[in-house]
Amino acid sequence: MQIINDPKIIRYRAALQNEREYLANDLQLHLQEMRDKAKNNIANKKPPFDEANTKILYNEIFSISRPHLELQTGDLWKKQTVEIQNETIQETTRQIIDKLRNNDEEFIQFSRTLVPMLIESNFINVLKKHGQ
Amino acid sequence: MPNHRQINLFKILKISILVLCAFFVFNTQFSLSNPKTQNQSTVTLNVSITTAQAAYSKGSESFVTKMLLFQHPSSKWVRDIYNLARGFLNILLLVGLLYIAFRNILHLDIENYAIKKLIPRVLAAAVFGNIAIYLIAFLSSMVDKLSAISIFSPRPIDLSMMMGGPAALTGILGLVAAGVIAYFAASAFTLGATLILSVPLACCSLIILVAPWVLALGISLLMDVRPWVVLIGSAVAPIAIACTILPQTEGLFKRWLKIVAFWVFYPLILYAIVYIATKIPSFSGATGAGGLSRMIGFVLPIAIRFGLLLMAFRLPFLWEKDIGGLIAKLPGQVYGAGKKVVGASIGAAATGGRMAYFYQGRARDRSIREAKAEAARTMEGNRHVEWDRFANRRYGMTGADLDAYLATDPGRATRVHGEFEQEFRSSVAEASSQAGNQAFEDFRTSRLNKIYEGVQRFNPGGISSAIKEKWEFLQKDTEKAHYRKSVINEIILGKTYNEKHQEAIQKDDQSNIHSLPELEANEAIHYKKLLRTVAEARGISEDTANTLIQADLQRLYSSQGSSGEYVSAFEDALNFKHRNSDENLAQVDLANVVQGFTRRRVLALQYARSRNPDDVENMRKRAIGESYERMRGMPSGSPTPQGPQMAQISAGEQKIINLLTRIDQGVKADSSASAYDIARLHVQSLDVKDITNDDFIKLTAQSHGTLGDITKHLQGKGEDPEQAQSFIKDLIESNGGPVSQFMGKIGDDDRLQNLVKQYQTSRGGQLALLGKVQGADTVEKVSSIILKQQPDQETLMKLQQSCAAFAKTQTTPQEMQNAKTFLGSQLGLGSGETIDAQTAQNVARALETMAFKEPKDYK
Repeated sequence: MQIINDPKIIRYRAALQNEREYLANDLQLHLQEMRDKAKNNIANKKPPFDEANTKILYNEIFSISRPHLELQTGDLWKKQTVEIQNETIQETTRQIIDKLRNNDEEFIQFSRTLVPMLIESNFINVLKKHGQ
Repeated sequence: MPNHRQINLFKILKISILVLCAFFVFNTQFSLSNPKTQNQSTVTLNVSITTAQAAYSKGSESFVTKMLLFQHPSSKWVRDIYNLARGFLNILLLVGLLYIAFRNILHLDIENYAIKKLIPRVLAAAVFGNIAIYLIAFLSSMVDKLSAISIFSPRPIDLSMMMGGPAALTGILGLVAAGVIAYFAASAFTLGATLILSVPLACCSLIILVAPWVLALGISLLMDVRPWVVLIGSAVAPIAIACTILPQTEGLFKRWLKIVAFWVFYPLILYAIVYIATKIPSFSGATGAGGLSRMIGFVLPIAIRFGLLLMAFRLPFLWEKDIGGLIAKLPGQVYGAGKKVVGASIGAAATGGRMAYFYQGRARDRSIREAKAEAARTMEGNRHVEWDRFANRRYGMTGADLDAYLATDPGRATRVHGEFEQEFRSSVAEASSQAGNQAFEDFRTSRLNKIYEGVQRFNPGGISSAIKEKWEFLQKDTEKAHYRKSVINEIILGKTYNEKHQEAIQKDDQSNIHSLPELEANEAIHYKKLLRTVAEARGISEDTANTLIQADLQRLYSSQGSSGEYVSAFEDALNFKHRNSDENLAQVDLANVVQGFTRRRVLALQYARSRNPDDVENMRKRAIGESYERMRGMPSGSPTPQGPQMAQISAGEQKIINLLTRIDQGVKADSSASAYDIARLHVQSLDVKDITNDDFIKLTAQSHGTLGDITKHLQGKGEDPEQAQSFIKDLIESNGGPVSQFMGKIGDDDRLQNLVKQYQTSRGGQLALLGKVQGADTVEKVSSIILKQQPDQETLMKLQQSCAAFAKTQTTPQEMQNAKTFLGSQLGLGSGETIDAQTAQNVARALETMAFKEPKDYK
């Protein structure tokens, strides 16, 4: 763990915290929408998720990952290749879609907190997978 | 205890009867092997043969056939009724045909298909209605001829036949009598005991003798009824056949046909069964020499014969329940008629407003309402008991102790009280619901209710008019209730609501909707409909409803329409309603509408999003663009005619506009200046309390939108995708740094230059604002306090754990005390008693900004 002493950086990181929270809040609303829509689609015998919503979800997870992982890992996230970043986000998106499909109400309710943690966990797993 | 003695006596008596019956059976078995008991006397109860012969003669025309052919002297009444019915049919057909002919000739509104369908039926009715009685006579004659065959020949149905012949009957009676005598001769009972024993013996004898006789009598009665059914049925045949013309009356014809056809052929069925019964022999001791096998050989054939005849007797009732049902209903009808007469006088005194009050369910509703309110009041009175339970369950302490403990921590107290309130409210709701159910049940079974129900049956207002009124009232009330329920249910039940309104949304033409305001305008129509429906159902006046709708719409369109904003907007509406009405239920309905509309709006947005990803992107961009143009004082186009008045720029939006404008000017003036630094300078003195979450989201969305434009622009230029991605990545990570650092990559592409400036402006402003708001100052302050202590990693971890203790609801008082002490020591706040959840949260946020993990930390 690396301790930061520079007040300027601390202030910047406080901004990152706020940004993450706003984006996580937005994501939670989007997940609720997706959950309702999935239920409706299943009732109408359609595939539960469409491409547009999944794409939006991917982008939102990507947006959250940047402030959150910068807070948690410093420059580690920034330094990674596009492939590793994509793999992390794709894995997280896949897991969230699974939770939505299973109607994991608890996850959706606490997604503001849980999604960043999930991203972090997946990032570490991807790094381990790539031998880092 | 006289009752006990009485019961014991009954028990002894029952056991005695069973023992005696066993003795009787034993003696019967014993006497079967005693040849001395046989005698030649026969007992026959031949009551059916005479009747059967009268109505059903073997091989010759019977009474029924002669009557149907009008050959019998007594057949005049049949002919008269038949002629009358036939004449009626013919007149009816004539009038009907003339009517159809004239309508057709005059080309009046009449369906050709209906005529074509009707004509064959009319013609068939005309032909068969006129020869019906001769057809039935032919069938009856056929039955007469068939009776010459031995299977269908009439036979006497009597005791001798059922027992297997005169000899068998004599044998049975002799055996029974001899057994009884032998038993009594051998017994040493007293005279009193013998008298008691004679009762069950007499019962058994009666059953053996009387049951077949009753059956024979019943069958005989059926055969007596048969001529009447066939003759009357034949006489009214033309009218029955006329019923085939209309589909509505076709059922009557079918019933008539079933009755007449069955009764014409009934003798054949009956005597075929009798024939089979007589063919079943009795084999006394056929399966062996033992007493039991002899009994079976003797009793079983009798039982089978009896069963077959019983089936023959029941057949008319099974076949067509009309006759049987009529006979069964007759006493009930007579009783009902009597009741009506008696009730007329009682009901005359009992009708009036009270009855209406009662029947409309208001009495019931009132008792339920009162019971619910009472239960809620009781629960409210026991609030302290519930609080004690809650404290004990959660923290293992009394309510008073928990109060004292929470008094030291206001933040925690708010949270715990909130949780308790939630639990308590659900307990109150449950108790209230249970009380309501109980009240309904009590009311239903109450004597008062029974009396009123009885009075209703005796209502003198006339049965038909009363039923009609009641039916109409119920129908209307049911319709209304159903409608109201459907509206509310649709809203409350997500699935139903979603399915139905998803269709409605898809039916809407949303092809011209490209912006959120346009979508809002479209949705407003549905919102108004929903609210009006509920207002109407609740009896809210139109003016009030309009005021309500207008006030809410103004409020809603000034917001971004998130769920929370809708609810808060409608809270005002509900309070408004509450002040003007005593009807609290309306609040519930309106709240449901709010919920429903919010969902609907989400669905509409989803639908709009799912139409086409490009449309979605365009819509988002346009919405953002319009929003910022509006913020910068450049309204985009005129408001849509049906749309709401666009919202005024809020104070928060105005501050962001000013900030962005200043950053923009700074970046344009000096491309080497950092947008973030410029923004920080301005933000330091900025009061950010007016800036809302939505303003930030819009700002973030604007940055993202610009990034999307940059990506597209680079793609359009044919840039290598990897290089483009790398450029975007650098741009994000510069965090609003100077534009000049990208100039080498941008070159002389003016469009790209502008886009990058635009992005850095919004990104710099965004980061600077984010650093200022939401306790960032506090975070900075707290972090500086912690840093002064020069904490090591272990201290940081312990600080994190202490903060986490405040976030958990299951933390024990001891753990909490430890956490407070540690935090107090680290923050210089003494024993830490003044530290609350908010302080702990600030510390946790500060800790997150003060350290980040390294790869080794994850290992």
